[in-house]
Amino acid sequence: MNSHAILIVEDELRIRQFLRVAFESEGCKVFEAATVANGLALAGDCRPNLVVLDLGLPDADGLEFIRTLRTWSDVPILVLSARHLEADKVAALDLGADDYLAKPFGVAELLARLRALRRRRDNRSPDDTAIIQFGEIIVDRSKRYITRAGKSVHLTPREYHLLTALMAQPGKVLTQRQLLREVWGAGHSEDGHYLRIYIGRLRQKLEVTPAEPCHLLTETGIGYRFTL
Amino acid sequence: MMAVSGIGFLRLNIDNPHGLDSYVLGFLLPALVCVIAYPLANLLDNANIVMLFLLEVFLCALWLGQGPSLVAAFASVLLFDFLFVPPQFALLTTSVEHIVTLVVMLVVALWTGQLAAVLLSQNRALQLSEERTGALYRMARELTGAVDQQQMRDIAACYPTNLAADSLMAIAGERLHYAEMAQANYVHSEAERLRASILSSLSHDLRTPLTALVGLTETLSVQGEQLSPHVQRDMVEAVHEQAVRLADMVTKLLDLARLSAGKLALNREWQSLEEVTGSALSLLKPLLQQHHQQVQVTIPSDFPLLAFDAVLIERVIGNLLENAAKHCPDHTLIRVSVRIVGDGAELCVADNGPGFPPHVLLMNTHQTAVVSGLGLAICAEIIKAHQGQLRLETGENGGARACLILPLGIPPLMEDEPEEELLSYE
Repeated sequence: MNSHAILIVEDELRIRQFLRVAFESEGCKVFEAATVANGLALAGDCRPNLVVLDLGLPDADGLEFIRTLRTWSDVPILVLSARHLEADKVAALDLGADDYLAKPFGVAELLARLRALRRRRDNRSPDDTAIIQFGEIIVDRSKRYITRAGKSVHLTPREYHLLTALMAQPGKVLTQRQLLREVWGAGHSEDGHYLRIYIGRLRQKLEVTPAEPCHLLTETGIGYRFTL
Repeated sequence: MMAVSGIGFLRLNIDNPHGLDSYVLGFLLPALVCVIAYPLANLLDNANIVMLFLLEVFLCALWLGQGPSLVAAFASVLLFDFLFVPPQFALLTTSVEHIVTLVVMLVVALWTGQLAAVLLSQNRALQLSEERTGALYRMARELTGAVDQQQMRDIAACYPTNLAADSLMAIAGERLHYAEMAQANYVHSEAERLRASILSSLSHDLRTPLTALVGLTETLSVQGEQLSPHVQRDMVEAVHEQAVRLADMVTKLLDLARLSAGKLALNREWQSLEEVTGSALSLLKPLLQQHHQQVQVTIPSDFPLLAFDAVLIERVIGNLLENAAKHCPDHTLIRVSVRIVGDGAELCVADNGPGFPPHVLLMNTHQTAVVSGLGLAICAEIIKAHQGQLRLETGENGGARACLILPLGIPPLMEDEPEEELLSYE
């Protein structure tokens, strides 16, 4: 994570303290802010490569921070929030946050998430390939052709659409609403059962053990995540 | 209500039960007596024939009541006079004894009619009061079985209202009130007792890691430099372990507090049990691997979707799996299965470990038995909020079996996608 600038927006001094140590040990440059206003100012001045944001801040809602930052920057944002506040996490992701972590979290987990975010950012380079491979599955998006262990897999158009929507951002949590809008249109953004059924079918066709998926992961109460 | 008051014999009792027919009968009976007596007129003295008419009037009064008997009396006198008293076939009579006969017959008719009517009405009043007593008795008996105000009202609606019924209702209401108070007292004291035992076990559970944390960190900061790096690392690891334990417990406590306060809004959506079980399993993977335990999940992929809060039900399934993993020896197999029971869907987590201790099994009957651990208490609250049921039992192999039942409901329809093949560009 060398030569990376990370902005921490968190009002709790002790948390900032251990986050700084963890990030610096990874060779990152760390900026700290304790308020939304301060954080936005720093984000403008220092052009961080990653933002770690606590949703409960004293001067304004953390969601406000995301909304404002997204007007000029698409820097990856990792949200920290209490475990039970699913609605907040969904709102943050819908507004454009990239990932979330529930408090209390482990440093190892946090660093792994940040590495994944950075990797995703780096991969968005011209060498983007049409072919994605995970497990025994190869998806050739240029030919719309899917094989499992060499054998062709048949998907319906909807299933394929859903799969490619998930694959477009590997590692990123996509909220239920984002997926429903993308695949079924805005009119179906509340029909969560569509996703249950279609994700179930995709798992049947693509996962080794559909009951314990390895690639099409559920973020309970939030949405889905595709991992390689 | 029948008027029973008029016993004066002149009082006419017209409202006899037999109606117009009885008046016709009161007229026909004297005619019948004439038909019988006329052929015998030569054999019998007039005095005997009068007796026949008198008998007829008497019977009339007894059976038909006062009105018809009066008709019968007049008809008898007229017929007797017309047919038997000389001059025959004429209504004229000069004899004083015939006038006496006439008057006697009228008096007999009136008096017996009145007597019969009084008897009848007394009889009826007696019957009525017997019926009322019977009804009150039945009502009292049913009221003893009533367990709430609604039942009381339902019972009262089946019986006529009167003073006695009102007082019965009042007594039953009072009994119910005291029974409710006693029940509330019992529940309250039971809850108090539970709360006390939870508090004492909680304060112990919270204090132990806190004491360890305070002690360990103090030692580290005061004598840290004198300790070997190896010991230091051990102590730091212990601090971390205790902190994680504490965090887990506080999270559960907060969950329980939110659930018990009833402030939790369920985010119900049509969810798949298979999916939620899968994500609960992936959260528990580290623990299961640490104990080398296998989980076998059998959920058909076409099992119906259920309306529940996925986050909460995931927590329930996770808690049940965690319990199984913690209380079973290493290398055991934990089974998760589903089935449909009536109008509910049942998910069971079964293991072949030592089974639930008896005091935990008590939770089936006492939903609030938090003594059995925070995790199960949270599960029970969550399932209760879903109008479901959590059942703990001992499996056939002696292991623990925890089953949650959620209502099935009717999943929404889906716009059907034309199931055509995806066209590939090859």
